Amino acid sequence: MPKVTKINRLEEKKLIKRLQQGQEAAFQILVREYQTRLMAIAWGITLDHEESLEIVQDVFLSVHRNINEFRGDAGLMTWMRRITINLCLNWKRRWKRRFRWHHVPLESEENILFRGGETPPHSPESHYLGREMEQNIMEHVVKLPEKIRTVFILKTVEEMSYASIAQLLNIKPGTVSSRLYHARKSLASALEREAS
Amino acid sequence: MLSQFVDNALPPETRTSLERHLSTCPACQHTVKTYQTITSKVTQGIHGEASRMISAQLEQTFLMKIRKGKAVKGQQISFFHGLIDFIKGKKFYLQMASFAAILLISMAFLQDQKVVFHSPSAIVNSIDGDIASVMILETREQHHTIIWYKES
Repeated sequence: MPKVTKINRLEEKKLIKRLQQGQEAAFQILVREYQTRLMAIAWGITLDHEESLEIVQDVFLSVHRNINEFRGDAGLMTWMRRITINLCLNWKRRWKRRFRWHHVPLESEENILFRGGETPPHSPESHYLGREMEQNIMEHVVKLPEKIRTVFILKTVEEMSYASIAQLLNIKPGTVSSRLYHARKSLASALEREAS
Repeated sequence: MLSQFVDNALPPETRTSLERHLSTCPACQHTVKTYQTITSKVTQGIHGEASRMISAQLEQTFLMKIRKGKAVKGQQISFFHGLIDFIKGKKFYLQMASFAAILLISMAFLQDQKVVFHSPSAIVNSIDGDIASVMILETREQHHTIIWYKES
């Protein structure tokens, strides 16, 4: 899946310079270039349209406030991704969400690690094609526990490495691996149940 | 392990060995294909949802907030500049000088008004009769009170 952001490293440096000068046009470019990517992360974690819009708005405002302290050691997207995730995982928002979503209970990660075995053969993926399959999978993604979904979204949507996800969420790379396995296994099992 | 394989997160040796196994195991091939399909569909689904949510409103609201912030900042700066202009004005210097003078005079006056007990309450010039005893009382700030008395 191609990334939504088309900006390269050199263009990004120029953009940062213009942002630091406070040029409104530069902030306009920033929003246009990064909003879809940030929105994908925010919605993937919060599953709430209004809240995602609010979070992305806050990310851009945070960039506006702190752009002069941005040294550029990491990329602009890395910085904004971190802000987005922190805002998404903010306890107040999470508390609010708790009343809106009813996830399946979070299984013990140890159990997941030791359960072993993969999806049995005769998986139904071949019966699901195109949009219908996408909708079905998304319905199950929504039901994944937040911790597992967050890791899964960062891996699939942002194509981050296990180490980067672990660092960002302050968890072990092994935990990242087990959560990804659990997400995939849950989704595959759900599709299989529907097919049978 | 198949999940890690899909993510290309296995060490090269393990990956090679797993690839060898996959070439002969339809069940694992199936699982890998399912995982890959799930990843691809979730990516499409999330990006699709995000694209639908994006509207010009986000950009407009953000730019409006920036402008508002700039205006507030501008007001703060203009207030600061106004204060500096006022300080720089001659009238301000005159007022400050007058105020300082009044303050100094008042302080000097209050200094004079300070109650200080530095004179004796009584001076004894002569004593009638023999001195029997002398009592010296030392008080603060080196003021001495000397009492002569005689027991009859």
